[in-house]
Amino acid sequence: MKRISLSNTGKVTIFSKLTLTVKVVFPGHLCCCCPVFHTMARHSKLQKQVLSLFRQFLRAGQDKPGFLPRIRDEFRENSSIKKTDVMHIEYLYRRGQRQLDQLKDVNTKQLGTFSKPKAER
Amino acid sequence: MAAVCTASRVLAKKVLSAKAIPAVSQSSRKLHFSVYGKNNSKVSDGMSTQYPVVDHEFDAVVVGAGGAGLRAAFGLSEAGFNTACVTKLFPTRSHTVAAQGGINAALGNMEGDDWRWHFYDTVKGSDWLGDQDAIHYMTEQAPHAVVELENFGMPFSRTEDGKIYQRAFGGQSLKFGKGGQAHRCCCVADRTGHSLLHTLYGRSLRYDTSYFVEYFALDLLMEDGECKGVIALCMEDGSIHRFRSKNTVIATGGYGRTYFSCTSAHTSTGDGNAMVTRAGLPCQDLEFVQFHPTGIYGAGCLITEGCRGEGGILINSEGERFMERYAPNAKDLASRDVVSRSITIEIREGRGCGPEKDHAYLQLHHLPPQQLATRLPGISETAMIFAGVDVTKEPIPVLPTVHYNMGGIPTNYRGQVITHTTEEGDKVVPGLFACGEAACASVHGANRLGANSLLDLVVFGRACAHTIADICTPGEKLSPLKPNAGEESVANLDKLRFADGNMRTSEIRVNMQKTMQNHAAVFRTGKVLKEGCDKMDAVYQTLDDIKTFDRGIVWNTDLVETLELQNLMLNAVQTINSAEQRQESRGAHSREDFKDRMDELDYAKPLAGQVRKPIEEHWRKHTLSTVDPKTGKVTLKYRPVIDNSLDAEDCAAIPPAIRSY
Repeated sequence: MKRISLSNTGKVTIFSKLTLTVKVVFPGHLCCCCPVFHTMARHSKLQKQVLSLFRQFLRAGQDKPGFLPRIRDEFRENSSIKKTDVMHIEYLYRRGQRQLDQLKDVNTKQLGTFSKPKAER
Repeated sequence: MAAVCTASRVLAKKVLSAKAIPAVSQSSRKLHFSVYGKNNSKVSDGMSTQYPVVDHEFDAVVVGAGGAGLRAAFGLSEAGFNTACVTKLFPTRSHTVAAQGGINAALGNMEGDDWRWHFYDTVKGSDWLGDQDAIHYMTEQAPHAVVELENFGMPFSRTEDGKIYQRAFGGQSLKFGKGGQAHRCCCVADRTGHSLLHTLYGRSLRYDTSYFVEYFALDLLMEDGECKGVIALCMEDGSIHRFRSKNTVIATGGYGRTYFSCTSAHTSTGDGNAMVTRAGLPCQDLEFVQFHPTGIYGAGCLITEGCRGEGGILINSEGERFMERYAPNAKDLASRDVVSRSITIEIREGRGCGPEKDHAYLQLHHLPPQQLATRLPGISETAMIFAGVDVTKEPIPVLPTVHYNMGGIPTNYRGQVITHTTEEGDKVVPGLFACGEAACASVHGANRLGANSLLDLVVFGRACAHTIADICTPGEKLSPLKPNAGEESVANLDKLRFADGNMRTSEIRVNMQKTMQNHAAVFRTGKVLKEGCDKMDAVYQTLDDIKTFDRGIVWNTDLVETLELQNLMLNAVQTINSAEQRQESRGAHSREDFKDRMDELDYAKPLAGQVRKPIEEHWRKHTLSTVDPKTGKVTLKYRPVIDNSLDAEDCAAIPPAIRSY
């Protein structure tokens, strides 16, 4: 069921789950069957946890080279998981917490990558 | 924020970047290293496999979290070093937990004792291949180490007056072999290793060591002959981690799994030995593989020597206590290699037990059941589960089974890894240490006495920590490392992950295990060993034709087993080639075609008037083996044994003599 919200600029945007950007949209939509102005469904608890984790990651990865692009890539890739697939999301969330503890540790210094061109294989 | 959205839309459409990838002038195996995120414009997702690499910096890294690894790790943390412990298993799952027997220490609780008698027993047990300075260090530190463990809370069995209970164990004597059986093995019923490991783990939690559990160490980061860290694979999320540090301690255990039947866990794959071999450094004395006399027939599970220490006896099909013939004084408590050979000879001569006459019996039902229940509860249960035998009524079927590797990474008595050249002698490899079964100090020489291994773990684990504390200070700046260090390891990982040959990992592994079991067993012959070397070489070449099935990177156990197989193969080729070259019988290595020990002097005859042979003509020397990982070719060199103790006045070195029990 699509939810249509009004942004503060008046443009209509499709609200997507687990979006990276914590956009502040004007919460409200017009229901077609009654004249009441409903508030938009808020983020679920799990969504809030994931967003909070993401924010903590961004903060922790600020001073160490190489982490921020990877953090964004990971969250972006996993944003396509269905909202109903709670087991998978919770598993990734727990793993993310362990990875965050490691990132916060003072001994972790940088993130690099070994990349191999696919054509060569 | 808008820019991020744009970027995400671009990536979502998977547009190939306009810039072509620069022409690769390196070989096709080369991987390109960059800090994540930079240079990304050149390479887009669709065109490359990417392995994220997290870099860590520590003062010291310990690889392996068994008895030796934990002791070294928290010893270093205690000394103020920022320590990381990288382990592929949870610490309490390391193979130390399976040790049953006990720890030798000359505490003197059962009768008067002296560590110099323990020193003599260990030197004799090693068939004079052990380095006497290391043995001196270990036996002198033994009482202190055991008291330290007791203070950590290890629940030793007690005597009536509350002192630590010490039982008789193989090869231990009083008054330099002339005073009868010594009781110096401190034990916790028959699960000493379990208590030891759990005590050390509990103690280690007091210190701030960083544990990296379920990280598989791939290789050492070597630069200019100096060890600068370790590269490891995180099994949980498939990321690569480089641990840079000035001091690396290897405590990865032995490689029992090269044989088809062994008492070792499936995880005993000799990873440390292989890492050192791939770094171009030698391994020492790998041909000396201990066959424990009493492994359960069929299952291979261990029945501790402590059974014989409590009064158990070995019998053949005629019901005879045959050890009286082979070792008139020590009988069943002779050294392990003597007992293993005796059992094998009895079976060969047709006096084996069972329908196929291929094993011996260990009888315990003549002992009081109450003693069995207090002192040997674990093996009572093991025998019931794996052999279906009630130890209070029937004997246990046993067979010599591969149990321990005396050889390993050569170190000096302080735990520093060494290489050897004839011109300069022993030379320390800076930044690299080893302890435990993975190391070869060499305290066990050609044969290990029972209950010396747990002692070896704690003493040399502590020694490594002390040596590092002496040489370095915490917080020292690290020397620079090449940005693409560890590239070959990741290339190898990538190759195995996408391997598409014809033979499965399990097939190659079973071939290797059967070859080793058939060609390098208790009794070895030149012809059979040579055949084994050729077969092993052929099996090594089939590694190029390997096939793996799991292409993922998260929890890829197929990949980890294949990496372990590579490590096992390096150990196996060195073992069988060293065994084929050593033309004498010494300790656990017994040759049917060369039945005698060949020392620089013939110690069976009076020494006066004999000419000392040069080192090239006798065999009382350590083997140093190196392998070229690409071809599997083994090169052997030799190194003299250290014959002087640390302090000649305090403890005189023992000159070689004929070894009989």
